[in-house]
Formats: sequence, structure tokens, C-alpha cells
Amino acid sequence: MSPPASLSRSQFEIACKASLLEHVRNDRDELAQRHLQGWTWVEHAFASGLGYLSRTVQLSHRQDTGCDDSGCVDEFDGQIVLEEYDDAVLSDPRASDTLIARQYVVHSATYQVPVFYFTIHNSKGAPLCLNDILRTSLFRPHTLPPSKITPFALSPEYSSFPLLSQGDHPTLGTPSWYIHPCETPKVIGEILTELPQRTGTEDPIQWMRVWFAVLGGVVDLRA
Amino acid sequence: MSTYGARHAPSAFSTPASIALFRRLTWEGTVPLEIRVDAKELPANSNRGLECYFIQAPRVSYLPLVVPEVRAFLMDVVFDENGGRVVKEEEWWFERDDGGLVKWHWPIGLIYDTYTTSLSPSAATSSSGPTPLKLVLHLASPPTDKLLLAPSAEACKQAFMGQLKEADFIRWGNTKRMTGLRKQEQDGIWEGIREHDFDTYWRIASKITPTPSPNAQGGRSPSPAPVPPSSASMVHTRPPSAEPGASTDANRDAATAVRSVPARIYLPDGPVLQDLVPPALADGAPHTLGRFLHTHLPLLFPIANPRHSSDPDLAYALIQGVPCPLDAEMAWLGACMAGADGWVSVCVGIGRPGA
Repeated sequence: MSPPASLSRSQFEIACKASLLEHVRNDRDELAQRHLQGWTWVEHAFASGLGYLSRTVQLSHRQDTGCDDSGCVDEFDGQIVLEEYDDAVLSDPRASDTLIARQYVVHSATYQVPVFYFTIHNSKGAPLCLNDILRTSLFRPHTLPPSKITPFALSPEYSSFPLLSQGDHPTLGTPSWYIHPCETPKVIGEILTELPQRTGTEDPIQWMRVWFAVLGGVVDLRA
Repeated sequence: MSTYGARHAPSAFSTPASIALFRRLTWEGTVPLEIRVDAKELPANSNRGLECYFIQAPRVSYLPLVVPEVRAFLMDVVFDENGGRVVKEEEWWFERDDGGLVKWHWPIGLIYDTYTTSLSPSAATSSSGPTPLKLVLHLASPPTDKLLLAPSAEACKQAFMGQLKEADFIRWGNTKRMTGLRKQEQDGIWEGIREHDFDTYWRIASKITPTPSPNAQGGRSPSPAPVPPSSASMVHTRPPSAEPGASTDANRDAATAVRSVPARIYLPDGPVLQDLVPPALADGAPHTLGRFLHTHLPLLFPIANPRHSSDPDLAYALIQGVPCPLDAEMAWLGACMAGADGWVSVCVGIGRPGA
């Protein structure tokens, strides 16, 4: 079993800035190109050491919702409630609405790994609820495990802890969604130990590349 | 308050009885809230003039757990039948009467302490005794750019369990203790919060929370004990147990055995700061609150171990509503003064704490 991998705040900062510069210089790595487009490094207004990556992208409602309606149920206060749709699905104005997603890569002081935070708003500025978020083009179809969904979080059926949940942005303090990082150290650790030795597990840029690649398996990171 | 514990005598704070005492005191802490419905949002035909509700709320509780009580009062006394039908509880949100943000997923004690530290030093000192935190209850249109969506007791439970799990990871480097809890144990720990039942909560929480070692030298005293550095470093080397029953298991759970103490710093109008907080420094000396604050806020806490009354008094630290001495050890705070969510919430205020 490979050891869990971690990335300190200073390594995170070095890697984020270096990855950005590298992306500008080196256009050959297609995957990195797609993942790294549009990100900028942002610092807190007055506190140091709280910087993060940020970008804004447009999303759409997914045509192929990836789950039939029976799979998308709300569990609210113990009651299973089937989603109520407007009667005319085809004329649903939501389908053509442009969605704005703010995406962030922040450093988790708890887990010592990068974490993906995001918000999604419709064109009127209203935030999407979790069920609608799961029907956007942000998530790749069929990648999330069978899950229980509440207004607060999405938890795999086999776990009582969420995979995706609401939480305050660690630097901005604003409401966001984030993909839970507690499995990240294990997953990244496994991949890093399989890489050719020359890259080393201590290389923060390599670390961020692997992290983006893993995240890109679930989230569509094309800008 | 500076005369607790002689140098080599076992500290009063390190006995199991005193651990239980501090945990009980932390648990039993309550704060006064004055909840007033926004007059502009009262439904038609409401009984105006009575739309104010006072409650002494447990620090470890959460606003969504208080809402049913407030709702019952409003239904009984303020709203008429029609009004009661039109208000939707899931739309309710709170705001401080000075416009300050109130996060429903924060423990009520933390909301109160950040309010206290947000007051100007003169306002904080002018009062005698605890003043109610004045909250405005809005009945509609929560600001979705500032507050998490869909507050409810269930959402609150999920947020709370997430905090507990993070605290577990910080302490031990994994979440095995939390994820190892059975479903009914996880439900039980929340039931303890909901019912404000110390025994129900601690029956399960004791499985994941460290206990200060009764044997460590230097004591876990938060008092300015005159321990020279050479002696303080002895804390690291655990003396042979003099007490029967002090087993390896107890040492493994000792507060000083944790990898790091779950702690966050809350600044007035600032970001929340978090870092790894090892219980001991590189030289083996205990990591103190003063050192922790000096590291992160050197301008507000220019001296890590203030010993003289002439030392500058630019800011203070409030933990569970208590102005905390800067030589309190982080490990002790983690074991005895953490909130029910496992976190030591250090609220920093400017100037001297209020009377």
C-alpha cells in the first residue's frame, strides 16, 4: 500500500504559480492545457498565505442527464420525494439558460491537499440546488457512484460521509460546493508511487498535474 | 488567577475529575439571544409588539435547532392562522441587528463570541455581564451569496459531522475513529447536541477525543506556571506511570499524543485562519496559545510568552466566551475547551476583553 500524499500550503502555492507559467510557455501537453486554461492566482485582500486559483466558466444543462428520473430523488427529512417537473419539459426554459460557474482550487489546511470548490448560478444570479448542479455539464455522466442526495450534500450509498457538500470557501468565507478531499491523499499517493522515479513524489508541480488529472475524471475541466 | 499549581505538584487541571469538570463547563455554557422578527416581514394581522423572543441557548447548539421553539412561540402569540400558513420555515434566516452575518452552520457559542470580538473595545468593556446578542429573524429571501442554502436540522447535522471528521483527521492523520463509529453512534452524538445531553454526547465523543495525560509534567495548567524551558521540555518524555490503570491505551489517547490540535482563529471582519498546531514545539516545549497567536498574528501578539504587566495588551483571545491566558497549552485546550464539533475556536478581539 502506498503512503498517503500531501501537499503543504507553500508547495501548493509554488505549484499553482509554476503550473500557470508552464502552461503559458508549453503548449504541447494537451491535457494540462485543457485543465489549466483561464485560471488565475488570487490572494486574500489583506491576509497573506491564503491564495487560491480562480476562474469563471460557462456551463450548460446536460442534454443527456445521465440518470433517469427514478434515480434522482430528494431525500428530505427522511422522506423520499420524487422530483416535480414542469409539465412541458421540452419548453423548460432552464435547458437553454446559460450557467455561470465560478471554480476555485484552494488548499485544505486540514487535509493538506488541493480542493476543488465551485458555485453555479443561472443567468438571473440564483444559485442552483444540488439536483440541478448534477444535471449540468460540470459533472461527467455516470462518474458519480449511486448516492443519497439531500439539499446539503451528496453521499455515496455505502458511506455516511459526503462526496460533495456545501461549505464556506476557506479564503472568501462565501457559500460554495466542494468535492470532499478526505480520499485525495490516498488516491494521489497511489498514483505518485507508480510514476517513473525521476518525477519523484516531492515534486509539487507533478503533484498538481496528477491532482488535476484525477479531478478531470469526474469534473469536465475544459474551460 | 496566576497562582494555580506549583511547579512539580500534579496540576489540578490534569486529574480526570478536572477534565470532566472543564468538559462539563464547556458543555453547559449558554448565551442569551434576543430574536426579533423583522417588523417589515410580519404577515398581515400579526400581533405586533410581541415579535421578540428571548432564549438562553447552549453554546454547542445551532440556530436551526432553536427555530422550532421560536416558531412555536410565533405561532402561539404573534401570527394569526393565515400568517402561520404563509410563513415557510425553510426560508428563515438570521442577521445581527448591526447587519453582521450569522452563519447557521456555526455553533451558537461561536456566533456569540465573534459578535463580542466585533464590538469596539469601549463597547465591549462598557457592559456589565453578558448582554443578549440581538438577532433579526427574516422570514423570506435568504441572501444566497452569503449563507449556505437550505438550513435545516438535517443539514446542520451533516455540517456538524463534517467538522467532527475534519477534527479527527487533524488529530490522528486519518478519520478511522470517526468512520469507525456505527450509524447509531453517529446519530447518538448528534442526538446529544440536539437534546443538549452531556452524557449522551460524551458516551460516544470520548471514543474520538483525546484526554490530557494525567502524568505529563509541567501540568496542563493554563496558568502562568513558572516552568523554565529545560523543565518544560520534560513534557515530551513521559515519566513512568505512578497510577495503576494508566495503560498504553490511555497514553495513545493522550492530548499530547495527537499529531495536531484542531484550532481556528476568527478575526473581526477577517478570514478564518487555520494551520497545523502540533501539541509540542520542536524543542519539546508545549505549544501555547501565545505562541500560536504570535506565529499567525505577530502584530497583534508581538510577544509569544508575555510575563509582565508592562507587556503590550493589543489584543485578546476568547475561547468558549472565556478570555484565555496566553500560556494555556494548545493540547489542553484541544482536550478540554474544544467545541462539541471538536474544534478550538479562538476568537481574537482588539484591546482588552470586556469586564
